[in-house]
Amino acid sequence: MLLEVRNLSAGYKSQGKEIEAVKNVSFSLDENDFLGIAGESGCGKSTLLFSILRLLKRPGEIFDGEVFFKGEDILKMDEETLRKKRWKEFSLVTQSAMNALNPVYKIKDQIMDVILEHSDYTKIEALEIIERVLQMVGIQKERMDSYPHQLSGGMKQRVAIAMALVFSPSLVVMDEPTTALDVVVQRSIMEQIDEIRNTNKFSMIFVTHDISLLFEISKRIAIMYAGELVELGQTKQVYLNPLHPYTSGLINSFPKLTKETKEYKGIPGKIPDLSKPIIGCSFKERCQNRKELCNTRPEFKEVIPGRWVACHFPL
Amino acid sequence: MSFSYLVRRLLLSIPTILIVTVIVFVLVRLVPGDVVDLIIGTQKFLSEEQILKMYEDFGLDKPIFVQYFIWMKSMLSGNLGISLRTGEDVATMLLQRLPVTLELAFLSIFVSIIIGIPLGIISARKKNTFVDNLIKVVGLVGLSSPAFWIGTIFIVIFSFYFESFTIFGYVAFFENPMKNLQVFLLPSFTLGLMIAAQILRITRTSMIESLSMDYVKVAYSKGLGKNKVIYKHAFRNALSPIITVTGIQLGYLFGGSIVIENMFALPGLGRLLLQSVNQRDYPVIQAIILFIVIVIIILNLLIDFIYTIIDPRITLG
Repeated sequence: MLLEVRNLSAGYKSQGKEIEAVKNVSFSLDENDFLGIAGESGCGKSTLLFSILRLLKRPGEIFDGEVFFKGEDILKMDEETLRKKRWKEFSLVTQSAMNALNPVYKIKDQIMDVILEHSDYTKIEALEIIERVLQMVGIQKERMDSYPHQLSGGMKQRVAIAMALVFSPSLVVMDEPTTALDVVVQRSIMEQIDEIRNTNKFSMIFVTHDISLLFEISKRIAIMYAGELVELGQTKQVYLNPLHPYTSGLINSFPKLTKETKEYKGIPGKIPDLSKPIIGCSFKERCQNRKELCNTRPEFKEVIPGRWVACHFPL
Repeated sequence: MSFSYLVRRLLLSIPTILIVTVIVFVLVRLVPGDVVDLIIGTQKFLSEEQILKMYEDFGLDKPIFVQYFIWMKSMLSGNLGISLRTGEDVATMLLQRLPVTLELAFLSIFVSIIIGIPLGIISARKKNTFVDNLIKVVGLVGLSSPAFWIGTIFIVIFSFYFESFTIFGYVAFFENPMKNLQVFLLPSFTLGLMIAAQILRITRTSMIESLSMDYVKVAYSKGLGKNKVIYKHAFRNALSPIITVTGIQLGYLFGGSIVIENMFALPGLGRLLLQSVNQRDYPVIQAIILFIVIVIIILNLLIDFIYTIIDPRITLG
């Protein structure tokens, strides 16, 4: 097992109020796995990611839980040890690469600084590595002398991915990497990632609100709602046979290419206010199957091997 | 920056300079009483003819636009004129005073940078904590305390408790470096603290913005050391507004600080300007103002050029 997250809770503290944006989240990731995490804006996806990587900044805080990476708890590691593992063992591609690259440095300098930080390569060797990783994502090597603003959105995203792969880390975390791109560019980038994953094995956590994209590309999928994971399983199985009413609502809300067109239903209501305590199931206000029991909190448990759900009455 | 751009910018600044010269020329002559009145003072025994002769000698008998063109012509030929009061060459007077003003300007800016920028960065990193609030309060005090007050406090403290410390009595740096620096210490801190407060505020705001950018998060996740993240990745991006504010302040300082130079008896441009206004010494006033305008124009050009170095997205031309 590469990564194991156990009962992770995190959130934000402001003016004495605690907002729990991530509640009691547990999941695990194997080598060469591809987990997609989907959820609507504000459900705690990014907070979850940054907690796992211990990048959450004040007023953000991890309240509780453990994150085991290759058997070591990242949350308890001392900062220097963690700093040395960063990027070599796990790297990050952030939301809209437009801002992931520093506007005042050339592409090569930005990749160079991380290579020189974590290895004994000379600058010349580093340049060769940069050439190679840029080639891997389909960027001509001449482009390494460009500044970010001289590249198109898609190219910037490719550079950000290339940068994440310089050390062939075993885990790459992607936070909505394709959100700012049009579907054509998005598709070509996803195919490129797929291709790279075939040769360089690495695990990926891919976070997005674009659930249809995840159903198409990911191996396993986790659905997040109001700071909690509500369902987790093999993507195909989740898609064909959703167990949580929220998942099924999501799947019913976008059109399928192969089926005839019909009217699509949304899910009534809106996500609960995270600054107030939620009693029982967080989805109960919007759920059509709610019963008395839903006033107690459902446990996130494995119902079928590999299928996890947090619902008293799975579909 | 291309050469043609430079030429264009310099040509564009000519109208600005012309307008300023006209305004100054007219304004100084609007001040009641002229140099002749002041020379005569209470000596009523001069005859009407003698007074007219004086006006003629000073060239003040001609219509104002004729005076302006005569002055302009002599300026363009590189002659700044002579002082109406002492008969000294104005250019020589300026060159004598300039080193004092320049030294004060650079020392003050130096003080304000070494205080303002580090405090601003700390404040941004510790946003909304006790440390940040403390720095903000100190900055606000610095910003709202008038320089003459801070200066007075300094003078009082140093003359009471450090008797061997030289507060007054300018000496050139090359004559006695230690004494020179002592004399400049208090005035440059007085000015420097005020400017530091402004640099601190802009540094804080600008750093808070760049620290919140994704590339800073990426830099942290790259496992770069804290200092590298903060100085290489965040600070470089926060630099443009800081340079703007520092440049503007430096521009003001080059014109000489009238209050501070008078307070600490430093023979700089600011002090000369005040004396000349008091004595209605038109050629000197005009020359100093013209000098300030030209310095500010060049400084702005320089700031624009620095932008292109620190931010590749900006190009001139």
